[in-house]
Amino acid sequence: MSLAYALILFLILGVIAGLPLFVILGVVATLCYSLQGNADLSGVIEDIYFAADKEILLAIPLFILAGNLMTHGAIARRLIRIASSITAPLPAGLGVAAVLSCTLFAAISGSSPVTLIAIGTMMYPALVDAGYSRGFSVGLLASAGTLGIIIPPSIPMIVYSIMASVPVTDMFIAGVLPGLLLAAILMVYAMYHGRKMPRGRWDTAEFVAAFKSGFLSLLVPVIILGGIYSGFFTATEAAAIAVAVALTIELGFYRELKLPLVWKSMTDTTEMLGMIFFILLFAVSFNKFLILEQIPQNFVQDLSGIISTKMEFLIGVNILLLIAGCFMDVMSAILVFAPLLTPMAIHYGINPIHFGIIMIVNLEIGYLTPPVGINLFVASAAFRQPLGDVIRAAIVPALMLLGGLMVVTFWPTLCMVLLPGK
Amino acid sequence: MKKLLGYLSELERWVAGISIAAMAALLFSDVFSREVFHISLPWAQKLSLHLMILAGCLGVSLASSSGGHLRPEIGDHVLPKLIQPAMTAFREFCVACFCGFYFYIGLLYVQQSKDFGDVNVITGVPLWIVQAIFPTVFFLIAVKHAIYATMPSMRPVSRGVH
Repeated sequence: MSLAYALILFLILGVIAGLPLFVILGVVATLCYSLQGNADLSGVIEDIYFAADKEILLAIPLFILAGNLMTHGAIARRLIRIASSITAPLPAGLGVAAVLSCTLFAAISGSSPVTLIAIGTMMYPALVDAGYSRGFSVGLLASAGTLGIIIPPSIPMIVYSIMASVPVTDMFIAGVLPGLLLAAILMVYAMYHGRKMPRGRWDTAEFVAAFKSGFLSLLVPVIILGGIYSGFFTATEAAAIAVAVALTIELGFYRELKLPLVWKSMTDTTEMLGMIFFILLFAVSFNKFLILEQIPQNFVQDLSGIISTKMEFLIGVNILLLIAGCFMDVMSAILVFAPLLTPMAIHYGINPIHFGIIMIVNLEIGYLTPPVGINLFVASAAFRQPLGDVIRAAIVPALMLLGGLMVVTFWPTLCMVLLPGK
Repeated sequence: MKKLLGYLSELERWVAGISIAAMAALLFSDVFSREVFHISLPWAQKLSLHLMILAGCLGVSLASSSGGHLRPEIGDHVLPKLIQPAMTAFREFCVACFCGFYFYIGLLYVQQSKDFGDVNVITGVPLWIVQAIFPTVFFLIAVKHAIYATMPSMRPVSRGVH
């Protein structure tokens, strides 16, 4: 108990002193390691080495690099142009275009923060210049960025498929309609918020020009998703292919990306990787402590003692995962909860693929909930807005995504309709 | 001193950037070779992983050089301005101590690993060489933050989180 007090005291002091998050997590992981009675603390280094020695992690810098290349080059801009030409006649057309652009980019990047950065860095100034408030723009982009993990390809879906022993392609197919539903919800939010903004007009010539100039950009998600669905390459390899395709299109066809910017994309990638690398490794180490101490298992056991029906289970699971999403990163939450909750879900007659999508959508909302809402931090850093303002701006879209979660949870057909016979 | 730190960051940037490029090239070569020549490169993924660890660790050090680490900045707003310089020095000192401690336990771990003689079965690379990246980077970060703690003019502008 004294160690628990020491941890809480350190957390408060660390936050007030403004220590880097990797230091705070590192000290917590080290203290927990001591709690387990380990006198040899060099084992923490072993933990973080083994946390880093996972091949699936390769997809992270590669998808970040692909995103950076497309951001520095012309692919993201051309996708935005196509989206803007389609949504111009709608109320808050530019806001809707921001969500549509994130949806298209999510089908390339597989990561929420990268989607947020790639689209947000271009759309945020455009939205503010067009008269949208900074709060609305930040909130909309932070929440639209979360689509990165529900619209395939999605790294969390791959991890879930491994933990729950379900085919990853089924997970990807099941994620398509829920992803589009959540995108539609955010578009409705944008349209309602900007209903008094002046509308543009449908311009066929602009649409044709945008489509022509961005046709190759639209091919990128087709190549990546097609390759994964056909079993041509794994998700990690898909990330490398995304880099190769992005470079080929940018250097060979669009020719707007110059070599110094390719180099800058690579060095930016290392720094962005560096900002999260140790946080991720120490979080995995801390997660190991949670698992060894059976803290999640005890929590789940307590839950199973008080629920008896499928409805109660679904409500309980949603509450549990929403709370987990506030405190844990997506990967850790899936690694901890998927093996425990999936058998219970099957017991209550829930398809494990449907359950996986419920889990991903819950944890997607976790990107917007403090204290560990990654998209809140990324939006705060990328758009230079105080974290408190970003949190407030994300409340309404997060609540709307919560409505989408209810639909995904209680209407399994939405996930399973594209998987006949499952 | 500023020049020295600049050269160090430039070196880290080059090594990390080349590692990322090599990692992407290796993984792409693996797929290309498999699909076109029906020859798999089983060592490509593992070698890529070693390169990612190198790039990721150097990225952490680069984030220190540019003040890019994610950190809560609530204290910057609630604490009196008078004690801010002392608090910043204290923060840099804490990071230097933390990384210094991890440098030490990292060395112990690498020594143990070297004594055991563990080798990666796919790449043939002794594991301690890859593991040594961790104490090396903790040392670099500890030195940087010790300098920032004692020489305020050397500090980068924080780009942390509010």
